[in-house]
Amino acid sequence: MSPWSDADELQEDVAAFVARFAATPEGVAAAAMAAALGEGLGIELTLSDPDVVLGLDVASGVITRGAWEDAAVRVALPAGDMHDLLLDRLGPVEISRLVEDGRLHLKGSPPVLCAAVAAVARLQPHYEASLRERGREHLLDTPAPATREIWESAERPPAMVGVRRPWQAPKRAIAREA
Amino acid sequence: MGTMRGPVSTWDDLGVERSGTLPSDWYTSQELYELEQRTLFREVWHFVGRAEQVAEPGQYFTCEIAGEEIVVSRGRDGELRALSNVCLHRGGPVAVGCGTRKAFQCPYHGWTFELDGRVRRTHGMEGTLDFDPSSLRLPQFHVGVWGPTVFVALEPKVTLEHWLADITPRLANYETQDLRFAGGRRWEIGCNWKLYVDNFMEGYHIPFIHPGLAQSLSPSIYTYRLGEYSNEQYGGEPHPRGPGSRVAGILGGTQEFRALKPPLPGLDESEATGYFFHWVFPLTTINFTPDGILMFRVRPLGPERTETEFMWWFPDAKSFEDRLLQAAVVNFGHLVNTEDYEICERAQRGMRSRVYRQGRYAAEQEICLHHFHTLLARTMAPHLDAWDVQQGRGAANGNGSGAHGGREQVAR
Repeated sequence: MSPWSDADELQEDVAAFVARFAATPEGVAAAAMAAALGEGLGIELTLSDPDVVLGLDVASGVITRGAWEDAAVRVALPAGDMHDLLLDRLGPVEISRLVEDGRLHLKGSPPVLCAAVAAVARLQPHYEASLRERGREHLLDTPAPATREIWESAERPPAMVGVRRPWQAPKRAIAREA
Repeated sequence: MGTMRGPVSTWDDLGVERSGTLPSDWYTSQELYELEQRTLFREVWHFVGRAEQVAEPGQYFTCEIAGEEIVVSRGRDGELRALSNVCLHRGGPVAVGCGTRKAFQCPYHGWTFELDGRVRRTHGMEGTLDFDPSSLRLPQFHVGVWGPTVFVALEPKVTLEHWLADITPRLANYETQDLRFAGGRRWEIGCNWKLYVDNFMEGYHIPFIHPGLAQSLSPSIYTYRLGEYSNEQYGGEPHPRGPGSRVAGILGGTQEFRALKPPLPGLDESEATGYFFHWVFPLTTINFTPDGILMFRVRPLGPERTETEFMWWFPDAKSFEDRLLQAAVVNFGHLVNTEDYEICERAQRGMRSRVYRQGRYAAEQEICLHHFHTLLARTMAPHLDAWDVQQGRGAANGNGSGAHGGREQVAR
């Protein structure tokens, strides 16, 4: 269940913790690194419940509302899941479950996603600190999800046999290369 | 026309180079499934739960083996027991689920039992003659702890130590890692349990079914080792062709991933640079990876239904980034399991074909698969012959090896 009912409030909370990180020496270094990538590192964050699409320019630390066509990384997940993730309430199985259940979608080239993992890890401690500093502690009272469980789903997994993976070159391209 | 032994076609073991694979009716027969439940699964050790679930006195969990309801509990005396979870009065469960209790109580008529199985209290039995509850006790089965796991057997032929002896040395470098249970996932698959286990027994299918895993493992570093009740496959990483593996399908190649997440400290070189896939006859797999341990528990539900549970053990994450990378490892495992799920269900449909009877082993790559079939056939041989006797058909010329026995097949 989402701790937010209002997209503006959600945007404000996300912007505040990103700004808090950007102001630290680590944030400044991350921005410089992102700028050095040339086109910069843009992350499009699509949140649901409440629905809002945010663009994060890692180089400048600026958050804008709306789709970001040139984003290097696209992340989509429910706001409540982002909240639990950034409060470090989820174990590895629960984080993977977000993907397995189709709640978390990630898109981007492998090196950029690796960089994004590192960036999110640096950002994460600023989330709780930012909420506390801004008098938003009530958001921390939301119940933490159960962890370390064996979970099951009635849904059948997607068909994979004979389906080329997104990272695999099309067969024709391989033939041409050969 | 083939021959029959017990309710299924005879399987002749002529060695991996010359044998056919298990006949297809071994994967579809209701009679064989019922026979396995009555015999095979009562004789073998089963991975049933986690040691941390019963670490303290009073802790318990329930499980089921071959239709036998069981409660595993740690008594006040500190002893671990596997008790029948069937009330001595009218057969209700004395425990449900898992947790901590001072005593067990059947919810049906309220009989209570000590954690060691002795009857603690009955009520309303005053007029019952020749009834001495102090002489009654829940029947007990065999139980043992191995690493982070609990195994139970109903009527074992050998000890748990003997059963797992070939794998136990592998635990050494992992037991020092302070691994904790991280959770897991349960699936139900529309295939026979043997077909699912077969799939685990070889790396032959990896390039076709698991393109991502194929790029994590080196085809030139894939070895096999056969034990008495288990076997081992070893796949070395990284792929010699260099970066390209897709750990979690998203995080780049093995080299990139390992740069972010080094292997657990204290592992030897082969453990730190590859995967040890162990299988324990008949329903357990234990995978030692550079990041932690992954175990599969296979539970037959019917001739063509199987439940599997995947369980992960990791050290506590050192940082949020470390936790995200552990999640990537879990997700990669999930991807591999998903790929297996579909092919197993499709192959099960093939087992029902009227024109497919059996295949041939890839002699250099399906050594462990053949090993599984020989262990199975050897264990089942006396039971298949006994089935024939019970059916009044006369035993095959069984030699106890599962080979060259059988009577002429009348109909399929």
